[in-house]
Amino acid sequence: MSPEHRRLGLAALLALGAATLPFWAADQYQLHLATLIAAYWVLIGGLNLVVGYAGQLSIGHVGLLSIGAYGFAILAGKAGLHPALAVAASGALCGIAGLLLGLPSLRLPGFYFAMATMAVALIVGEVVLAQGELTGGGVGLPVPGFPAPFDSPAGFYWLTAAAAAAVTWLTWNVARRMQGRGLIAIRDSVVTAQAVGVPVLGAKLRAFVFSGVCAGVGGSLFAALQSYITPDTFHFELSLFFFVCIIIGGRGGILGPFLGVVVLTALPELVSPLAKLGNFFYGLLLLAVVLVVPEGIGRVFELVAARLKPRPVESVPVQPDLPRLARALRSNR
Amino acid sequence: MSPAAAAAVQPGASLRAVAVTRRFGGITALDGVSLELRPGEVHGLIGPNGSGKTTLLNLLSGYYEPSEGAIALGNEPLERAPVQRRARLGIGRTFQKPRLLPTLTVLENTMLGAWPHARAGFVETAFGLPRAAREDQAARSRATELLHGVGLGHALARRANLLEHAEQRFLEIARALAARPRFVLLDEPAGGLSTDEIDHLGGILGTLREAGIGVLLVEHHTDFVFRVCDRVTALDLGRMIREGTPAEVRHDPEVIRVYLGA
Amino acid sequence: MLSALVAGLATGAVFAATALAYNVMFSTSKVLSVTTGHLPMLGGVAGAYVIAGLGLPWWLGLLAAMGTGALFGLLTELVAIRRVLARSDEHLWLLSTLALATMVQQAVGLWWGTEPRPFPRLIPQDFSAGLADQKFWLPIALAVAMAGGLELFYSRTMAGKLFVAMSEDAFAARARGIPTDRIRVASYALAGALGGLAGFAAGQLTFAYFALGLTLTLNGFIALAVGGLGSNVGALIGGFALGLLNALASYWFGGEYQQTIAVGLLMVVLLVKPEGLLGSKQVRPV
Repeated sequence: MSPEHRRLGLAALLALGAATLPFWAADQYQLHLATLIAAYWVLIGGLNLVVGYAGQLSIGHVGLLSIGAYGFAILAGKAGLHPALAVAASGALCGIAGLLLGLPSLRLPGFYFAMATMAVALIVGEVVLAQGELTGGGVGLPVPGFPAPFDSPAGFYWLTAAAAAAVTWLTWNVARRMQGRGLIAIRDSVVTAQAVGVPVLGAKLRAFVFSGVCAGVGGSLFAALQSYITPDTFHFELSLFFFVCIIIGGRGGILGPFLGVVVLTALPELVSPLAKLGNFFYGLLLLAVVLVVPEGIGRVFELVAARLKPRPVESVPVQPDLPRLARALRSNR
Repeated sequence: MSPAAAAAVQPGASLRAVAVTRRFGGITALDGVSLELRPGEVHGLIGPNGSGKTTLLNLLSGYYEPSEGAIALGNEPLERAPVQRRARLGIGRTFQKPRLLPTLTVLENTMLGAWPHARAGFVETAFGLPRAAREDQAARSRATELLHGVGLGHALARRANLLEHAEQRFLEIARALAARPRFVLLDEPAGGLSTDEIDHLGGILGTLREAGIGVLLVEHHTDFVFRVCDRVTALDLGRMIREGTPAEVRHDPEVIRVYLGA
Repeated sequence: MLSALVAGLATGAVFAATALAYNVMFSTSKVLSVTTGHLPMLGGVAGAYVIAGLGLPWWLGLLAAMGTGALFGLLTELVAIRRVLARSDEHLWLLSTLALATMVQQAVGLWWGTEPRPFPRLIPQDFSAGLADQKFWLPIALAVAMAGGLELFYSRTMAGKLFVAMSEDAFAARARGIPTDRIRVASYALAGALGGLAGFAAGQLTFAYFALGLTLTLNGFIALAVGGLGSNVGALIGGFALGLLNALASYWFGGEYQQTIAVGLLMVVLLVKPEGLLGSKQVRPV
């Protein structure tokens, strides 16, 4: 079975497990956890295109999560919009925020840009606290739920899981086609990207806008799940968590970061000493990955598989087939 | 190049540098150099280190703007055109040190070269509309043919960071060809190649010539240049010292002095 | 209003000191480390622990602050920089220093507690001293002294000149036999000691607080970018400007938009002069 088939098989299995989860989850707590993972993935799946594919060091996405969450809470709660409309509006608002977040990325080199995104996250926090009338300030806001059939825990889980599946499908489409290759070129060799004609800023911005919309939808679902949000819910460490999931899972993949989210969310819940360590654990894991397997844990599996099934890389001399080349060059003018 | 660009530029148009000067701070890297690259012609560009060869290539491909002078494709002025626009107009290039995407396969790296032909945008691709898949399939088959053509058929599924040096060089050429270019600018493609591999490269250049592509060959291997090129330009310290047929250039006294006296 | 200005200058001084530490580490490694803001944090915590917690004299607290900073600087270089610089991927060091910064912040939070704890008086002084309170002029004096000291170090001492040579062209320096690896290690230790010292001096202003690190990393960076990467005088100007701007904005508009203003300042400067006020055009930010 080729690695591609193996991955698709695993994905199919996960999808099956995810679809039937409310039936085999041990208790409400596990269902809640699964819903949380799904909501995170709605954001992280979108962020994956920005961080994992385009290679942009955005560590400020908790700010977008916050805008999405507060947007939903205000629109669906205070303004009384139908939750579906509120999610859509929240997504659109965050899409614009994503655009603004990505704009400096052309002018600012790596570290500068990362700091700018961190600042954006802190600014969002400041604004939320300051605009007390709108956002409830430090006290926070209650968040309305969704109407039936999504008002039960299982129902809401399926809604969130569907959103997560949609994001997965959208990013998978982009990743395996030319657009995805263009983003990878931006990440690994901007000079090459330019040479083949990729509009670097435009492509980055599209990825940022997409990640913004995903953050808006994810934030709305996240808020509805929490049913009450305060500024403390959106601490900067959450941004780090999103970023780390992708790096640990492996840039340039989708399954890897997804497993990253699952493991990093579930692990502290299930292994309580780890919960106490909290972010120390994330930091340690990130450091270990960066030093030992910078391409992420997903790559580790590939390397292990290659070890187990050794295929010697034969040194075959380069032997052009000039008639075939001539035919290929002729076939388009 | 993209279909729209094909319509805009008349066939038979040359890619030209006209009296270009390029300064970096106090240094004049190029001083009033002209060069005409015609379709179906292999044009060599030689000169010692620091003579401005790569600068001229970068000016033609759009990574630098000239301080003075003009760059044109046919009648279309290009000095202000960014790199991406030139790629769409059918100007491809390779790099002195191969620049590949290490985590992608040889095939995927080559398919990237077909970017100017990918009309399906981000949203269209994300929603799985058929055009993106169609274009991808077309890019895949073309890339496969090109890779077999340059001699990398055995390595299609190999990750690019596992390639040997010669394979990397040929991959870059295949990638440049994936865009259906009018002109290909090669930056020292023979660097690090064995004699056999250089022969293969010569064969490929001949095939490009027959296909009507204009090839600029920036090279140190002067024997190779004189062997495969139709015309040669020799630079020294940013100035053109001779332009003509290989025979004319290799016997020019100034060229001999620069190369043997250096 | 005057008290706002003085307080602003004092916090600005801490930003300036952080920016100076950035410069020292950048000069030899071309890396901007996320751990930079955590050096003053460690200095403050170490000082408070030794003096207030263990009851030892102030100069032991000073040594502890500088020592802890230097140790953390060395750890940063060893763990997050050395192995990573060898690899070609540009941004790995951002991830490794981010990881290390997270770890140290959490570790200190777990050990010291998550509440800001008071820092002891260093020089006997009444708490009604107002504007002359040492919590203001200690950090200001130190930041200026640090900048001056660094300039003297670079221009008058042999070691300093080696630093400068390495920062201008590390490859050429190595070719001339300069032990660039050892200099880099030394620079991280130096930056650590200076950062720790700055945190110690500013402890009465900032309190000993585990979460200070990230804020200082960001604001110290803003001071650095505004003043110009590589310029020590620029670091001072950037830091003081940021501190004053924050203080004045708080005074006039209330303290709710500090971060917004800081970033606003940065954006304005970067748009007009991307290399910072005193940065040189050649020193392109990595």
